[in-house]
Amino acid sequence: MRCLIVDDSRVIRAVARKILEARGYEVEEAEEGDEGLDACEEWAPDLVLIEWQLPDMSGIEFLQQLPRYNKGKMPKVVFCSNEGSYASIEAAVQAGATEYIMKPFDSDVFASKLELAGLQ
Amino acid sequence: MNREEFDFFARLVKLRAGYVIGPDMAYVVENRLARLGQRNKCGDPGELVDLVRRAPEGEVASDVVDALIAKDTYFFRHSETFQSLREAIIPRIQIQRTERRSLRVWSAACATGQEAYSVAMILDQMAVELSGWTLEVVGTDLNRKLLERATGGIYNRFEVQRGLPVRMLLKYFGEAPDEHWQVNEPIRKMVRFGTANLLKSPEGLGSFDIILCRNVLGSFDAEGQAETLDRLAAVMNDGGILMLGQGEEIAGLAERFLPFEGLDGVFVRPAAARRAPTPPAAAPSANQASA
Repeated sequence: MRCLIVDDSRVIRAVARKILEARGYEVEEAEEGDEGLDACEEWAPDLVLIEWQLPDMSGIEFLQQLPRYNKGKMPKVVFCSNEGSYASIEAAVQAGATEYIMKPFDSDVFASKLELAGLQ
Repeated sequence: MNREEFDFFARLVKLRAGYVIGPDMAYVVENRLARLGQRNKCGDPGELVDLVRRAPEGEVASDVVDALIAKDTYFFRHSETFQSLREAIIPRIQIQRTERRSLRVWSAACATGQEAYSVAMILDQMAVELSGWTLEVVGTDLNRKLLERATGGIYNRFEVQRGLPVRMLLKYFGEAPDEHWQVNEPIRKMVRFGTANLLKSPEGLGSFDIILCRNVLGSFDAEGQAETLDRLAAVMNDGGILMLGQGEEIAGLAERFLPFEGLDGVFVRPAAARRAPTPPAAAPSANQASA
């Protein structure tokens, strides 16, 4: 399984990478939305873990553009964000997010959300 | 913590809650009681023992028991259990209870209530099939503080993210202050919480079609397991369903219940299994524990 982490926080990327790699994922990282979309085009991940707001676009905008970049195969998209209002979560789900992780999270939450997203 | 102190706490928990704590769990006991000891200004476990001995029915004694029997709980724990509930167990009860159109579920040892609310959410999702039915979920626990939390239905970010799909969070919860979430009122109204000790015959709870008693009885000794099964069977309707934790091996189960075909950890109470409940044990006290 391939996971792309799109988040401008180096700490979050490192934490998520550690948990994902321990579960056998191949992991790539991107700091910004454009960089993430390019990575999707080249690498076609199974899962994209994305922040609510990136330096160059919102997570929702990323999600809307994603179908054009992922070789026609839509990955599962899990938001992972400090933004934890009802309205934001609802907007992400309506835009097509599979799951939503509110930060801070721990490995139990992370593992549970992967399972709920239909991933290991 | 020395052996005498460990034995004191282990006896207290056995008498009050039925849980058996072996010497291999000494480090767990020490860790779980360390913060409680600090909060009560105890310099070492011996001082905590003295405190409990001085007030065996007091709050500290209860806090010790609560700390030592605390269990991990989260929404839809072991999701297959809830899938079985929806797809096989409730439909079976519907057939059995078609005349009375009443379904009562007991979440025993429910701690902070996630299991009870998970059941209520499943019942809500079956609203069409269960239209016209009287539905009630009862959640009980020994620990009043946990029950207060359960009744409020307020959970932090970590709690609402373990086991609970985001779409169900949006459907059944609203935002509460300080980054918490609260179960919506219609679901809260389906669930009634109260204190109950599995070591005693449940009083005033009524009878049930389904009892979830998961990951509890495995901590009891064989005698406690068999006696508790009798007490559970005594409050189950004919054909009622008992749901235990996955892989739990419980003494006396085969004599009292039939396995539910194809479902691990699920058992049926045949009509013949109804027995008089075991006479209530004398209320255990910390004095007994120190005897």
